[in-house]
Amino acid sequence: MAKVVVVTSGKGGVGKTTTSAAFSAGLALRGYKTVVLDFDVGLRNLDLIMGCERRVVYDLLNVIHGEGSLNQALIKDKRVENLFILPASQTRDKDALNLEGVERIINELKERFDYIICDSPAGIEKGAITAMYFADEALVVTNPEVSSVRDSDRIIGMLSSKTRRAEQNLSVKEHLIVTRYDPARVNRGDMLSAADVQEILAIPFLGVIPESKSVLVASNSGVPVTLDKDNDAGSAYMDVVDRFLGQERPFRFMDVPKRGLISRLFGT
Amino acid sequence: MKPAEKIAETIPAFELKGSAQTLMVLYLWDADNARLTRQLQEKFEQMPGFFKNVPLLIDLGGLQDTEQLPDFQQLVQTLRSFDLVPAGVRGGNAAQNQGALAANLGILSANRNQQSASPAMEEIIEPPPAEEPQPNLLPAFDGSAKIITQPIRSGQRVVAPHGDLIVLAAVNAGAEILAAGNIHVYGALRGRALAGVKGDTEARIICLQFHPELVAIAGEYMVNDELDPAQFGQSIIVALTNNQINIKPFGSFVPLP
Repeated sequence: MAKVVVVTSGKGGVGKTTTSAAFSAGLALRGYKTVVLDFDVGLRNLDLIMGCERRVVYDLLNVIHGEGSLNQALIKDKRVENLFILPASQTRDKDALNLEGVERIINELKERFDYIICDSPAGIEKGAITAMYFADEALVVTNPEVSSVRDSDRIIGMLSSKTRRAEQNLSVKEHLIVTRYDPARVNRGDMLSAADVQEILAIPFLGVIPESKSVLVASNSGVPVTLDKDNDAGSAYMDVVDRFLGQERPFRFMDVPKRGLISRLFGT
Repeated sequence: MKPAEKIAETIPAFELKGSAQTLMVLYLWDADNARLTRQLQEKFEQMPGFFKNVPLLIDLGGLQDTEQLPDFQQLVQTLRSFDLVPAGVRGGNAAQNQGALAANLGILSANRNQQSASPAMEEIIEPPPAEEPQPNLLPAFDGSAKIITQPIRSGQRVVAPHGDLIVLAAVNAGAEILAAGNIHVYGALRGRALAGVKGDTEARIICLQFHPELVAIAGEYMVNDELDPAQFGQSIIVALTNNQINIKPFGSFVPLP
């Protein structure tokens, strides 16, 4: 049975789209047929991060309004088997989304894919509600700072009240991912620790993604970080994917790495 | 009639007695139903379900000296649409009282207290006929408790309109909990907690970890800024003593450093 997973956060700029791209590429690498949908109508970004922006012909809204077929709109990733992208429209706004149309598309995608990843826009308005409405599970992306944690708290509340599963008295399975984590700053007390965030949000924890220069490089070059070898953020996302799939992985990147004598001497 | 039935007949099935009760009073300043509906709507949007099935007395003092005759049938309908139960009127002139009677509303003697300056709803306590002072009787308090097992999250609001509220999880920043009775939080209280919202000055707030944005009892409140930071993280009972918020640690819980 296909699963619909929403990637959401409330706050903007915490790494939803980066997470959507890395997570869906990770699922595809593990052999699952995966499609990632951009719900950020009007502020389309996912295609850039996935590196397929020059291949967009039809988008989500075209398909909703019957101006193009789903097959025409789905973009197949050139690097990984099993990975498809359904981009958002850049020229419309979120009011053009309607639940009936989205439901029809999601039902159609469910026939063909194992995982349907919905990249939610920031905020708690129509775009975010539409992205989460049909979700079976949710990845709540949070930065280790109080404003982000509070917004995620609000979103978790909405997951348990504004989704279809909530209306059916079922629950959406939530997972916590703490991104842009810097253990050195946690130790200095500048940042909330992963334990603090877990305590406040009280949902199952999938892991931290370390603050990493390679994330910016990867997104500027249109490569999901999980496809970039030798990249700490990428391996952290693969751990997250494996934990999501039910495997045990030791938690990494939670502590300051021990520096060797040479790197300490030369300050690299 | 069988002997058993005869005995039953001698035992009274009821007793008729005068009693003083707190009643919600609606001070009516304008008979215009459309205007009233609009303003009630605004008022009740802030507190949906809060006044559910509360008996209501309509004070006509503001209309007594005017020619205005409210359409009582329509007024009753409007109030019922907000889940209020209009029980009677007071302070009206002869014509107004006649109209109220026709709409099956009771007529109460005029209020002896000073009238409120605010057109908003206000709870007043009728002075008891007896000499001895009587504690505040709260008609809406039925002693029942509402139990919440999930964390209460930012933006959520939980109301226990008739009794205690027991939360077996955390109340997060940006959340708001209200109860007519006591509030118990068996977790961290990081949001706003208002106990005794119908005027019960005996209400208390009890929480395992005290980090509130605001605590209030029977309308007296303190914001986080006014609290003693030494009490943050401790297990705390908040009570009202001499109309002042009184915050005391309890138990042997030691917060983690």
